[in-house]
Amino acid sequence: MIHCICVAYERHLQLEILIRSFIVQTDSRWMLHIVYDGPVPENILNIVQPLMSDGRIRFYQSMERKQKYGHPNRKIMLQKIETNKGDFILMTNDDNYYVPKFVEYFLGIIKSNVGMVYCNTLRNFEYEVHNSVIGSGGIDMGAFMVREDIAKKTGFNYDTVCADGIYAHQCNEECKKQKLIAVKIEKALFIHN
Amino acid sequence: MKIHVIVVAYERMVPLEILVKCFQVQTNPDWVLHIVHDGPAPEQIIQIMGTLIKDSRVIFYQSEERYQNYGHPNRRTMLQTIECDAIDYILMTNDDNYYTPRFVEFMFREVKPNIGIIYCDTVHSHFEYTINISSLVENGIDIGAFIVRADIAKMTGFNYDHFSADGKYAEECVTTCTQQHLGFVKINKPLFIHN
Repeated sequence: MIHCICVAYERHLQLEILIRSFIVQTDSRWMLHIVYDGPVPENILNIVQPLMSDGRIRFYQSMERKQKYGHPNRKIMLQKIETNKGDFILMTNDDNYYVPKFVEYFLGIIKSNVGMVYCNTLRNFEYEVHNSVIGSGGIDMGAFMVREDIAKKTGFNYDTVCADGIYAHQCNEECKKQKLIAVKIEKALFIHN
Repeated sequence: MKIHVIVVAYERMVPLEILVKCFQVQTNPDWVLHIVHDGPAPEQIIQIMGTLIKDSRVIFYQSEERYQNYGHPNRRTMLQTIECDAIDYILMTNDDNYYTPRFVEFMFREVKPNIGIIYCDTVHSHFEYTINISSLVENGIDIGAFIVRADIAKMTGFNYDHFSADGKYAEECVTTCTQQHLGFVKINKPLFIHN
């Protein structure tokens, strides 16, 4: 199972695309945990409520708007999220989307010694394919998933613009300590907008 | 100037919603979606389209009967009947494709009076989601990866019904462009995701 933590703020059309890009996944082993940054406006609520009839979509809101790229909400969700052994955690933004075989490819490569899986990204910086590299500035948040025990042990520790890359690096270091590997899928399965 | 997008659809409700929203979030709003369902649409799709057509740029049609053949017969009919200005452009696509939010913006950047076709690369499901480098020949480009100036598209017509009729259409549009002394521009970016 992939638990996807998605931070959201105001972009309702983009959020709808993201949610539906999961609903059409060829592999149904995913859960979306959407965290809205601050009190949710009516238009977002109207959109999300009907979609929540799909039991794999959960919606939360933070008491106040915390900003900082959504990182404080990521930090809290990572601590609180209930997972099972062997699950993976993906973090993303509300304006990204995934090709329909993303979950299939990512879960298809899992073995007992795999701690992270990552792929390339079709990136909005001029829409060229970004060759993901684990590390600060080398990978976008939505392009990698981490085994839940590694992710929780690592924690999401920074609030800067490149906190996602630092989180990737720290997860990779934790994997090494646990003798786990990071596997790369050389495909652009994730569209960063 | 607009891009008129002819979308053939059949029963895939959620992917169709994604496609429509991919256009609604475009950074350039100058597009019109002409969605043609192949045969009478199921109630569920009619209900959803009832909401989506509140955006006046989204137009929904249903063919009287199901024609199949990859949606090509509906493409042909729509290309003949669609009302547009000569300087508009026509894009054809399927209901389960995605576009990046700057697709229209990037395509329009390349428009000049002497340009008949603009095309881009594709993140393509048939190639395991690697990049398909487009070329304007049969089997070299996907239907959703190129726009054709409306007068050229209509003059050319959509003339075949086989699997790779999209590439054949691209080839024939190239021939018409050449006859009209118009050129082509390629954008070396995968702005289109084929699913």
